[in-house]
Amino acid sequence: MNRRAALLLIFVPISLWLGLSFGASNVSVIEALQCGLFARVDPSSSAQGANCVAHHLHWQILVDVRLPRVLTAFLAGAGLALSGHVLQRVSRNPLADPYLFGIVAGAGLGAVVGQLVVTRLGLQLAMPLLAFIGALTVTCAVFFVMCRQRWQQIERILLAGVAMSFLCTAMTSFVLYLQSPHAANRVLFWLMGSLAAADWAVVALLLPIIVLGSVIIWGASRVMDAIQLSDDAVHALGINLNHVRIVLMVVVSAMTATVVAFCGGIGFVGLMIPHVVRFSMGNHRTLNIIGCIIGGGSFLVLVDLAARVVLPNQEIPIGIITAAIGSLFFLGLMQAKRT
Amino acid sequence: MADSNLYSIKQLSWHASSKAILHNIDLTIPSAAMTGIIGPNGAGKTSLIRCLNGFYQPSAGTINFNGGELAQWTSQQLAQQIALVSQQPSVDDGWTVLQLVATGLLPYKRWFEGDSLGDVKVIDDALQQVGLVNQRDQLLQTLSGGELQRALLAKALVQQPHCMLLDEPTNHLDARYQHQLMKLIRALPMTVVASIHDINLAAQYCDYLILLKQGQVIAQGAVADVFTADNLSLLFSVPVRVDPHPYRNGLWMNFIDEEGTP
Repeated sequence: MNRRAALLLIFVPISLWLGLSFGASNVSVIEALQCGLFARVDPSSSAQGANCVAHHLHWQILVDVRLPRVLTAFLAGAGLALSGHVLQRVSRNPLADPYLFGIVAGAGLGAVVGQLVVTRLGLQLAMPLLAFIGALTVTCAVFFVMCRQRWQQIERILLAGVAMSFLCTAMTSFVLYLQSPHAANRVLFWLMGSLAAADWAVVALLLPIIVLGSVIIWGASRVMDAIQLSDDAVHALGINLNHVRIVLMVVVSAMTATVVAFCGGIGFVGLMIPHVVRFSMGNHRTLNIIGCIIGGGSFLVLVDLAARVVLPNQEIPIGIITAAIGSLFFLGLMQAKRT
Repeated sequence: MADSNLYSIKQLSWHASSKAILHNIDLTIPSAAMTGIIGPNGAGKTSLIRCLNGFYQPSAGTINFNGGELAQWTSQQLAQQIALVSQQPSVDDGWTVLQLVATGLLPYKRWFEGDSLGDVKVIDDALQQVGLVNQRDQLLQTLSGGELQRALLAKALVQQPHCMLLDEPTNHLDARYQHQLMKLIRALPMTVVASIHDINLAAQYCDYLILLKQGQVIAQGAVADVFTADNLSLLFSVPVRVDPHPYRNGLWMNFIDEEGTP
């Protein structure tokens, strides 16, 4: 492992520690850990007296609020970065991004229309579930278009995704225009991305999907390398390109749809992190995957921290920060490529 | 003679968007020899190569390979038998020679399978054969055109094929690298089929030639039999003259004007 990769590895404990340490309330992680662990051994004989009552509260904040949030941020960032890496490889397009498939727009439409429908029907369904259904529906629609095209041209997959994205955005805007301002605000805040709803249940849902997706992507990494060659050269290596594309698209769609359903629209992570990783580590298939997991995860933990602490008693939607950093990053990248 | 032919093609046609690119081709490709496909631009050379490695499915006709119909082979089985050196790829910045050459292992690998010591030896042997051992960690974008073609050849050798298909391997190379590469290809102990733009280069290095024009074979056979002024004039629609080469055994062609002056 090269020096840059080792440097990136250091980001994991640093980002996790910072993510756990800072937030709306002032929590001492070490004291909360000491008190929490001690209290679990013998809750009645608290040797640290009254201080431990406060620290026990800190322990609860740490375990029940911050840890699931930090883990959700890490998993979401890792999943988005890895999805971007796969798409950029599979499509041979350095600008490919998981959201190009219309997944975010689909999730938004699912959340908006779903809420409208279930409210009319007098049902109660969680917004993430509706968003997930929306994201999956759009993905299936893009897949359907591509199956009819026999997956021959990857550019068309991206174009179909962009078209679906615009269609869903238009429909979402129309429905929001007709809805009450309160409902519209709620959905808009969610669309801008937030980890406020993160809890252990979200972690339990995200973890197996991101881990399984990462393992499949790692297994396919050698094939993804070869896809950089021309289509006839890929065929000559015994690779069924369409089969590989379908499998990897399903994996990417599942990871992105799950992340979007719980975290909303977090743009640019899937686009930016793979570039940073390749720039810092070179083109090494295993290191690139590890780099995306570490880089994407750590980056989103730090961005979420910024979203929580920049404004007092208020959270900034995380998508705003990632989009701002992403745009600046791209301008910098263009400048670097020019010189 | 059936056993001495690696490929036996009957009435092969291939259409792209209803336009006939190859039509009614009958030909045989001998084993353990070097066959060149020559013809003007748009003759269908690349399409024929792609049909030979199964990338294009024939619109009509049959391709028999090594005693069986090509369409019956799986792509993985074919990849263990036939390697392709296609026209120069555009790969990501940051790829090394080793990474490119190692993709040649894919016909023998399943997903999740790592490299073995045997794989390392196969890669080393291929790099040795093309003379790129010292450039194994060099970035592809820093290679010369000739070195890049040799790296692509090494990738194909890692596939350990019985047949090597090359699509215009000498394109974009200067005279020195053209001859260096052709000598390397000529020395390969396997059946070689290469589409070649330079007619004299094809005549110098190939045992057999296939003359392709507008998707049809106008002549095929040993170089001495088909490399004639009549055939080549018909192929390029311009008068040509074929003479014995002044410095070596073999023939060479010159385009001439209407008066017969080179």
